[in-house]
Amino acid sequence: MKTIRAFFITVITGLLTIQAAESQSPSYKGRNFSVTLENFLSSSVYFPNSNGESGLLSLNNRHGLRMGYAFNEDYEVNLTYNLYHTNVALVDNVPDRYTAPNFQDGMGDLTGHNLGLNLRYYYKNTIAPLGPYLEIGPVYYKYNLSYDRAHFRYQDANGNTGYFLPEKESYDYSDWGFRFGAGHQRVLFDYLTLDYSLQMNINFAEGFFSDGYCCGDDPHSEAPEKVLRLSSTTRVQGHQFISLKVAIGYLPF
Amino acid sequence: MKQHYRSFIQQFSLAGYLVLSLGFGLIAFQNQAQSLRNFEPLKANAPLPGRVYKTFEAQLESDMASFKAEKGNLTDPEKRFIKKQSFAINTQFQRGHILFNDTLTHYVQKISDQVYEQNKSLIRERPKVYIVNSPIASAFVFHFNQVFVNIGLITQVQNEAELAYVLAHEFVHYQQRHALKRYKEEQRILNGEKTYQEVKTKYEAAIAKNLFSQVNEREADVQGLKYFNNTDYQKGASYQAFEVLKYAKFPFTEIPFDRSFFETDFLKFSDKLFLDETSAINPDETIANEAMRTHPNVEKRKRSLEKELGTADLDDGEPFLVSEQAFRYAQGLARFQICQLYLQEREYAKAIYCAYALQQDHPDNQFLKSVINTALYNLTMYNNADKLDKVLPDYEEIEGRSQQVYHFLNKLSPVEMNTLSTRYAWELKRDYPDNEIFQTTANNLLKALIFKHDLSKQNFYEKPRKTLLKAKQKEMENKDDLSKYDRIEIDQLKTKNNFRKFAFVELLKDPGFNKTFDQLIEEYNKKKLNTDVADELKQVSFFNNAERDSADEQIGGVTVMKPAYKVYKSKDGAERAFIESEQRRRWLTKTLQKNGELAGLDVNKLNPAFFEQNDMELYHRMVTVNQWHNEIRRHNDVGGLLSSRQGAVNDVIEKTGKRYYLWSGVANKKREVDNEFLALLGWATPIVGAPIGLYRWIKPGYETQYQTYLLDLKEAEMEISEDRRFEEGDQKDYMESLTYNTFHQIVNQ
Repeated sequence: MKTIRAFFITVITGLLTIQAAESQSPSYKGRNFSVTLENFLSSSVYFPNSNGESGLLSLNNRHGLRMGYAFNEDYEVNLTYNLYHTNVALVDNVPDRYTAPNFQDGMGDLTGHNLGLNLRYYYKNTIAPLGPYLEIGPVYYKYNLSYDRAHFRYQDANGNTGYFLPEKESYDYSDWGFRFGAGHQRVLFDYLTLDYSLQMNINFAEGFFSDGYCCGDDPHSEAPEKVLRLSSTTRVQGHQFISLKVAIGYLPF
Repeated sequence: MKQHYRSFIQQFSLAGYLVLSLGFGLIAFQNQAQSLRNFEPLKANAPLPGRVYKTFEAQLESDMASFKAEKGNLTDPEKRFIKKQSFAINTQFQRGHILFNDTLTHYVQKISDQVYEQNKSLIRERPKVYIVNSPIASAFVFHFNQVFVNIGLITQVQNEAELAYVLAHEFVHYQQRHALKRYKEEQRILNGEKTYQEVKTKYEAAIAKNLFSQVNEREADVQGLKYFNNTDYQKGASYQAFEVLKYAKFPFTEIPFDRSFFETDFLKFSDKLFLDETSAINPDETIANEAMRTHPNVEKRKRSLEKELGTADLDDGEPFLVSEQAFRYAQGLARFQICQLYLQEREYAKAIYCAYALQQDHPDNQFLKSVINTALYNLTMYNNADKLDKVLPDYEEIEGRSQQVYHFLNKLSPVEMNTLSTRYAWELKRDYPDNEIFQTTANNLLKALIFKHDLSKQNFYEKPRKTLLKAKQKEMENKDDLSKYDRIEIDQLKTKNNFRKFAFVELLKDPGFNKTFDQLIEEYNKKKLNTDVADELKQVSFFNNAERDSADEQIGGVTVMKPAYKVYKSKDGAERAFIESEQRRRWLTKTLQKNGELAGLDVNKLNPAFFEQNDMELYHRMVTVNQWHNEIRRHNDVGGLLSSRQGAVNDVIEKTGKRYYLWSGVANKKREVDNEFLALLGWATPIVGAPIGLYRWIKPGYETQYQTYLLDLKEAEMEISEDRRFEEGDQKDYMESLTYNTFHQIVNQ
């Protein structure tokens, strides 16, 4: 909560400062604020999507709400919220010796929320919030992994049975990341916006590149907690690494 | 001007292939509707021609129908040709360059009718005459039955007969459809058809076009002579008309410029300012490359005509058939008018020379004095800004007796020129106390003298040279030996090089002049105390009285002039989509008004598209403002200059209460290369990006330029200026955004 509170205080203070400094921005016919519903699509090539499907033509979906404020001719600041749900193939990170027929069906459910703050730069001499843009900014990831432990019951070579995953079936994680996007926003009928872009999200979570999430410094740790963390983070990253965004918005004032 | 700006609203010049001109010579008329004594710049009369206020589509339809009636169904190239012609003519009318239904037009129409009536069976339709406000001695036709005669031509011809021959020449262009033929030939050249397979470069293409044009001109010369000979005009006038053409670039007269013109009883210029002898006009036409001209060499044309004339009696016929009196009057109007056109073209020396020449017959004419005053004022401002070469050619480049004026102005130092113009303006101020422009120029020039040149009353003598010299000599009589300083003082009183110091001898007796001088000195001394502004003061824009009384005034209303809109089909910007351009222009007009009002401004339009047939007042207002604008926008290199139309514009402001006028325009064309960045993303991220990248490669890219500026007509100041280019189309949202932004800036400046 402290993190979120700090985040909002920073954003609101920033907005007020910017507004005071740049209150003369023409924006689109005097309307600086926009509220936009966004939908992000990415290809679920390697990981199962919310329908449990993977492959080139399977899509990941992410929904979002964005509030934008154009504070001068070239720049807009955005506050974004994303919501998504997908599956996680936990078995991918389970050590090979723990095998069981039903492992393959053992998917985790991942539900995530992103909070982001971007700065958009409308770079082609058009007036924000209109025209081609580049955007960049930090993202705060918060996501929850849950699973049905029953799917992860195993029997080893000695005939011992057990559950590989912990008894606790729900874990919350949070990370900081970074977003970069390139897109185009147009205005329709004076009040609606149409926004499409390519967006890249990179999660800074420790271990995504170094395998060191938990369980001490052992990079080869096979602790179940590590499996869960690694699976979740990898899934979030795969889900959002490159997305195509299409959004419809409204310019109220 | 506050800012340097280049207008995108670059006016459509009469493209070579559209215009068949005969660079010629001279004029006419009567109907004492306008007296030379109270001359004012010429105005068109009601009703407005349809080309001024009708939509382009409506006019095009009419032009197409007229063409179809002549020739049957139109081919695609012919349709394109008609569009270009129609657009070019409409543009001329809508800019207000054309005079119609006025004294001058009626007179030239009568001469035209003389030629037409005698050749009725040879000419398709009665040509209608229009006068063009241009100082170039020329006439031209488009495809239709309209002959355009420049003011410059009317000032130069010696009689009706010479003008009649020029008109006969233009009738041949019309009758033979030379404009269409030339267009078609240019298409062949462009496509390398027939004999043009070897034409590869633009230079070769230009030569091929010119050679074809020269053939048409020769045909018009010879055939025109036949038309002309069918009239009762003096036969030799056809030949003489080429003499007019040959010397058309020189002023309409060759009288010597009197050295004492700017002198007074006490101001006598140094001999160094004048040439003992001016350069004679070189009778040989110097042509570097005849193939680069659309018209043949004049001497060759004369020789061709000689053959045609054979042994005909050149004196046979009348120099005037309509009326010699009317001719003299019409030529007088044209010559007065050309003085103003020279001012608009910033040819100040020419304007002074022509006004001087006209003053020989009209010594107290206020208009002519006003021309000289405006020319001197602007020359002074250019000279003070060390940019005189922008408006005054080197006298050595000038031939003829007008060279004296160029030499005189070239040799005056900035402070001498400033002094001379100040004296001239103050005399006008004294003689015409109700003339606001004279009042302003007089005060501003005096201010320039003080602020720019740091001069005070002590720098001018209050008594005449002779009086001072006598007094000094008397003083010296009692001295046995003259000191060094006595000798210097006497030398200074004797030399004419310090003529400047005697410029204000009479004025310094004028209480009004003294009062203003003292006030300005006081103002200058106060400001001078602040050393930080000393340099700035030297650059100050004097026309605006340095400190604008309206500086803090918020702009509440704006008058939107007709916007320009150019949509090009091709990437090189060569092929213009005329109809689309016009449709979008109409849309932009509405959008400007809507967004101006949205931004909280009172928005008016001054746009011929909203005129009706008898809206002459609106039309004149538009013409006045456009003339002012065309002149003032040339002064973007020096601030605080005076437009020759400032007086007329002040009347418009007074009548309407509107002083802020907005010019704007859009140009849109296809772009060569599309968004490489997105294409690169497409390749880098093939799954999602490839389709986008591919789409961007295939989809044509556009680039758009939006230009606008707001001018304060009263202060001749640019309030807002914007030139924005972006690599996107000119879709509705972009244009809405940009136009709103313009008004937003106006409101929040």
